[in-house]
Amino acid sequence: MSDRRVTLVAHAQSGEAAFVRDLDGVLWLITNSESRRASEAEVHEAVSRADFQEAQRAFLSFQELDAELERIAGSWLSARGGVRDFSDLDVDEARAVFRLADEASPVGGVSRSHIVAVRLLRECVAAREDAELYGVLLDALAPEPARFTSATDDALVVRAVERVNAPVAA
Amino acid sequence: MARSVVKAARANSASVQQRAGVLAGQALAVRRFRAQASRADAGTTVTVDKLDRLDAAEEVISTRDVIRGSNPGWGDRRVEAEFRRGQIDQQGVDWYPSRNAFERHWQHGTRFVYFALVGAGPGLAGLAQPRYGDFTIILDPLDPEPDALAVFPGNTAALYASSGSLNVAACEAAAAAWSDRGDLLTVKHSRHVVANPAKPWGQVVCTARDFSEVVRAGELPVSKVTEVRMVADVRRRAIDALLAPDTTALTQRQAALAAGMRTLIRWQERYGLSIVVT
Repeated sequence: MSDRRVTLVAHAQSGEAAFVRDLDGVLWLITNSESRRASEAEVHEAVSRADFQEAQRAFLSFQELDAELERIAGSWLSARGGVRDFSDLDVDEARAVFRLADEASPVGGVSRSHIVAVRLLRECVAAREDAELYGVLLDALAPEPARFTSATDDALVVRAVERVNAPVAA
Repeated sequence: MARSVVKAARANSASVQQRAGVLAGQALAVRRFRAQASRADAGTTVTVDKLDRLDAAEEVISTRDVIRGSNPGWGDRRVEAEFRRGQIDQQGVDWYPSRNAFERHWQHGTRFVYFALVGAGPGLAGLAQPRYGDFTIILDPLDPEPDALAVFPGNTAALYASSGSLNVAACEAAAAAWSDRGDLLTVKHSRHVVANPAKPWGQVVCTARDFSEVVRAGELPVSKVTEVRMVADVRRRAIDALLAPDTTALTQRQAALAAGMRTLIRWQERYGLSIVVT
């Protein structure tokens, strides 16, 4: 069995960025956006100035290391009270969160505006108590009127109408 | 007697301006770079947990003050010991004597907060790639008026005190005023600019391996952060995580990123900062 290990050299306390030494001894910086080669000087700088924590812990695989980073992120979240819902947003923050929905991708065919409106109405008292925002959120929940958008759809409608109006066979 | 970094910088003003002027007169690319670099910002790259600490403190604070804030009741000696522990790198090299030598030389030195000079342009903080966090905070170091402020052409501890004792002459000669930062960058980078005239100036002044350092002491409320920069991919991930239909389905790191985005939205609404995608 190989004794080669991947090493977690240092990490952000929230776990989303880490310096990692791979099986070949190459140092990498892994963040949310990418992985790139890093230098020892950067590790030192991150530890001494950006509050990274040194780790120097070895793992048998990247999967194990990844699980450790998840555990670190979980510990950090727990220490700050866990994942927060929208209950403590004020009305301005709630509006800002709702505006962001336009940028987010749909989930399971449901628009993000719909999802966020549901969450804000359910979780955020300030959003419910502000008449204007409440109205906006309710509008976001209203189903869009059914409409046919293509020539194919129009043809389907015509055929459906013809069938409905056709005389019933004796 | 500790020296004033402001006075040292001011004493070098005519010299750095004159040198930059000569270099700018020799090449159009350098002249253009000088004009751009005079608009360089002070910035620092932060992770989600650092954002959270800044938010809790409501102030951009020095590493010693971070330790003090995290450990109420600790005396100065214990804080200093913890600060020193953080200055020892993974090879066991202790950078504390270098950092300490630099800071003890200057008035307010132990309260210095460090930033990098960063430019506009593609990539986070002017880089094609992030440094070691997903967010770069940008601020105006003159607002509020600082107790100390100067710019140096590199990592000060490594440049002037790598042996643990300060090269006083070199250090004092290199200090530049904030208003002279474009000239300092011109003197430092003019050869590179001449050789690479098409390179965006932001990618010249701050790279993964090299940067110019801003040192500042004095109160700096988080409300004075003017801008937070992030790459488009991180913004998209952060928004998707924040607006997830079911937060229990997020990974822990997605949830941490969502927490960071929430902090930024609060700053945006309370302090009017801009969230900029680079």
